[in-house]
Amino acid sequence: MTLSVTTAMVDLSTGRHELTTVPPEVVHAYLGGRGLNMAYLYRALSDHPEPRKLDPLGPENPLIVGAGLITGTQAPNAARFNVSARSPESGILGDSNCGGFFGAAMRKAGFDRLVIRGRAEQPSYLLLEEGTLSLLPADDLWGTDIHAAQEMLKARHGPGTVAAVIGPAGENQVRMAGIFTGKKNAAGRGGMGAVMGSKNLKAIVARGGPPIAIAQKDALRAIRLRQQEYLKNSRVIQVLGTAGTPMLYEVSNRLGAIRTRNSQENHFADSLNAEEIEKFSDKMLACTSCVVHCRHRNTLGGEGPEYSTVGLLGANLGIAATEQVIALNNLVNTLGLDSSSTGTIIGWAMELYQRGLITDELTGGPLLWGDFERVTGLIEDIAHRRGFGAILAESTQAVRFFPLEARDYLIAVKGLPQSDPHDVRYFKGFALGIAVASRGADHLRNRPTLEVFNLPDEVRARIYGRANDPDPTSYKDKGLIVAWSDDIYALSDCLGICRFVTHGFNSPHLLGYSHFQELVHAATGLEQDVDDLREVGRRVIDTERLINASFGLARSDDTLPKRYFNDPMPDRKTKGHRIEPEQFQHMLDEYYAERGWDAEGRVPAARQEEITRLVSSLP
Amino acid sequence: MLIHVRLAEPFWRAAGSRTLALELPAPATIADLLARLEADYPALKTEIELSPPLIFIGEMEAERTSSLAAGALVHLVWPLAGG
Ligand code: SF4
Repeated sequence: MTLSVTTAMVDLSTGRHELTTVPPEVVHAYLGGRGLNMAYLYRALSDHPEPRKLDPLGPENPLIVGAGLITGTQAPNAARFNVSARSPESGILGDSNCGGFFGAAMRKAGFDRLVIRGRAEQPSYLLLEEGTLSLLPADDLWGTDIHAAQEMLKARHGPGTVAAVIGPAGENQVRMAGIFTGKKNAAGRGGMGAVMGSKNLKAIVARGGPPIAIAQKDALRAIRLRQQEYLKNSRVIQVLGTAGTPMLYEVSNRLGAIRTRNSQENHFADSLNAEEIEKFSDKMLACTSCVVHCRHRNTLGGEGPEYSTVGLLGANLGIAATEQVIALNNLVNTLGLDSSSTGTIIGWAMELYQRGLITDELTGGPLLWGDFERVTGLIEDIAHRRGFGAILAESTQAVRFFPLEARDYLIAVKGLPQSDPHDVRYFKGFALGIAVASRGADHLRNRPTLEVFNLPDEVRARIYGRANDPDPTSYKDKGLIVAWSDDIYALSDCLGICRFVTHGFNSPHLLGYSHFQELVHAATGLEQDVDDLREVGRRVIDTERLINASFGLARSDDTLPKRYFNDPMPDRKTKGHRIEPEQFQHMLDEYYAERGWDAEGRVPAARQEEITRLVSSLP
Repeated sequence: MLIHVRLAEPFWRAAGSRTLALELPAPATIADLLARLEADYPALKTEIELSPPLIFIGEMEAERTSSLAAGALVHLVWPLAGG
């Protein structure tokens, strides 16, 4: 089998598209998913006379939707696709990874990737079907929420239809709007839904098509069975499949590391423990080819909540009632909002109100911790850009409506609100991770989660390649472990494999480079050794650094929310911990050195030339 | 003396209960408590070996040698910090 990776170049302004094949050298270099998306994004920016002036909500911002190289195959948890563009939320690299069934459906329909430019004249959707692509009117869908849009599209196109849609938030170009492929599965981060809305694109629908071509079917099946057994023996996989990610809440809370009331506090109510969430769960759900089944179906009509949502729409807003937090989870998902950004931004506004930095005149009424009714109304208003909600719909950019001091209380990096509810002042590697993550404050790019285990020195040395300081609260060697995590997580995003089965994320007993190598070989026929695969991850991180450099980002942008430097954590085991600024700079130095970047965090010229040459062969 | 135990994921599943109340002869340490738990709940013994927990007495992290006071609430928490 000759591997052929396709990209449809779509122009919504003209309604035309062209199906292209990615040059083999570029496939070898980036594989697919996040990696190839970054190659296309960097290519688009290289063509732009002034990337800094590229309007994220303008027709020229490319919306790149790309499935992982082995998404939709029998490989374990190979469900993911990435959506990338210049982020309207942060103004920098925007990239969001999503599970569910859409990635596989898109590949089956004959498309590995779409690069969507322009703006449709009227509300429209794209239909991918049996290798054909059509642009169809969506006037009747415009204004519908996530569930209604998906149901209408399923009814229209029949069984096997899978749709990636935006809700009212995306239509209204709310800067933290996501793209949803189910009741909860979302490309949530960075406002990719707003980019889609700015293009008048309500949905991308995939259906039909032959099975995805596999180089060595029997070998892949055998590898799948073996890796499945290996994964199922992992304790973390077993527990994720019963309790889901909410189990992480109790751990962080007991440590005193749950972002509470905009990180003024660091622990919250036990009513948000996994056992309480579980009372509202009637089933565990899965994505394509998943061996874990980590997602709750809740009895209030939605899916989730995940740990991040529990923390950020619960503890971060002072809301303790389990049922209320689940209701808020369902609401943001129905309207098409990213729960992480929404919870962070509302928490920020609540603290500004608490401090008298904003008043009823701006907010339209009291904004008090724990006020479920007010938060419910505010989420609706954000999605529809009404009243004070229209200001918060600007996400971190709402800072322009507030006094200057407001930025001191914003829990964001590079314009992106922090994704997860873990207060990173204690684990120094976590802090470095969100400071350098290419899309802004985000744990899924590089969180060195093994820091929480007391792993023996020799095991740590084997994992990270050399001896390193086992103390998670020291600043030493954190550059090494964050760079290591960067690389392997980037690779799994290129392949389309879920983070929950990727080596180093919650466990050292998950799928690593050699597992990935055998999967890639059997699924595609590509001959890549482990070093080649490592290099793919490194190249993706370098490409992302170049993308952000083209938006003007520099070392000074690799930083943390002011509170993490200034305010010690108030309670529990983490009490007294904060990030010491000078030590933080040493961590950055070490991280840049690990990455082979110069002291300013710049990618070496030779690598830049290599990447420029590779992407220049893309259409 | 009466000691209360709170078991987080995944420990409670092995014991069949989220909370336990145990009578231990005073004086007692965390090691004594764990020995008693492991004797009473063999599945929990396996779980603790597989996934060594973080242990807290109230809000303070504890060691195996930490002393227990009557009425103490001990938490067994699995160290995980992903997302
Ligand atoms: S572990 Fe969860 S998020 Fe990952 S593929 Fe399975 S169900 Fe989807």
